[in-house]
Amino acid sequence: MKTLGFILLLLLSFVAPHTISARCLAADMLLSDSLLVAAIDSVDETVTDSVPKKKRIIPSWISSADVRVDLCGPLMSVMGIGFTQYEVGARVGIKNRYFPIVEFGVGSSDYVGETTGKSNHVYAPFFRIGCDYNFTKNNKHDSRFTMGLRYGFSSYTYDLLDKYFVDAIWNDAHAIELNHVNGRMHWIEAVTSAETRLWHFLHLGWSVRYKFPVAQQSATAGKPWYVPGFGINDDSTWGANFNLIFEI
Amino acid sequence: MTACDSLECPLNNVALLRCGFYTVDEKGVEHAVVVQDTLTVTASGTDSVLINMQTKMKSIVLPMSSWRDIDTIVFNWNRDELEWRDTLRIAKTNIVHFETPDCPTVMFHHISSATAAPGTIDSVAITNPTVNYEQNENVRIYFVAAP
Repeated sequence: MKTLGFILLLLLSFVAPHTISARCLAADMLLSDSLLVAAIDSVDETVTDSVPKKKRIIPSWISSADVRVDLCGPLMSVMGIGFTQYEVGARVGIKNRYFPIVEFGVGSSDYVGETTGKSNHVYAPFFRIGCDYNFTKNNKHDSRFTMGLRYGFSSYTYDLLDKYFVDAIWNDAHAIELNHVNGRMHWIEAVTSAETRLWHFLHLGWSVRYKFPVAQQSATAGKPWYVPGFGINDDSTWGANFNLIFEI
Repeated sequence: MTACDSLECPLNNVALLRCGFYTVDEKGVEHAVVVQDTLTVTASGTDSVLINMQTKMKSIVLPMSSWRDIDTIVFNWNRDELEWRDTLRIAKTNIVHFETPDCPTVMFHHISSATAAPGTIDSVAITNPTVNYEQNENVRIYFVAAP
């Protein structure tokens, strides 16, 4: 009878593993029967193993995390665009719907005007921060279509050189050289992206960006032809990234 | 990566000094005048002709030097067989306007003083000291009498 009561209480402790009273009663009953004292250790072990304590380090609302490398930027000078840009980024997914992201890199340009021979040199880091929103209906799918915004910033020094400036009317010729001019730009980007899983943790993605400056500081004599991270220095410009993404 | 951009240089990429011709009557009221005589303007110290034998003008535009601190501009007048000369001196600061590497560099100027040697030009007044792409009148040239 004692053994039957023990078994019932043991079953109860399995059904309601956090019910301390059930396990205590079972222990009391076991203590009263010295033959079963040896069994209590195995019972306690069984109870403990049935309630594994999982400590989740990453919060459940974070659905993914990735690091990404832009493959387009390094090819820009090869394509004759006039500048080169190396860029990496890191992004986390919140419930697979919101994707805060940081991007940073370095850009450089040694552009020379074909008809004028004037040159522009700039080399500097840049930084962007923003967030994307996933519009994909089945948001747990491997492919995503996102839209978002970025705030970008770069602080740079630049050189401008016009070796062939000639005043033909007044018969003067002087080279114009501006070296180590300080400048900075703040800009906003509207980003549309599409990406898909290629293999396991490997994704590929495109993004198209419309960029416009919100503030720019440069010398009154002239501004740089290229701003790192922004692109060709104008009232607005377009950009694109082709990203290799490593997602966990 | 950023898309290609179109090449857009300013069409009027020369900063010109704009001079208006005026007289002042006995009551001290100034009037714009149309000069009937033939005018040739040259850049002193060069063989450049800035304006060649124009008539019936109420204003002129002149290219300024890029590097000199003072431009000396010579007005050569001609009426029938009569010839005479006025000299205008413009002191200025030159300001580099680099533009993009694909466009020519342009010099803007800030006029600090404008004077004329005694002659048919009575006086000169600065109305807008900044010489740039904007087509505003920069100086007013007052004649003793309509030449």
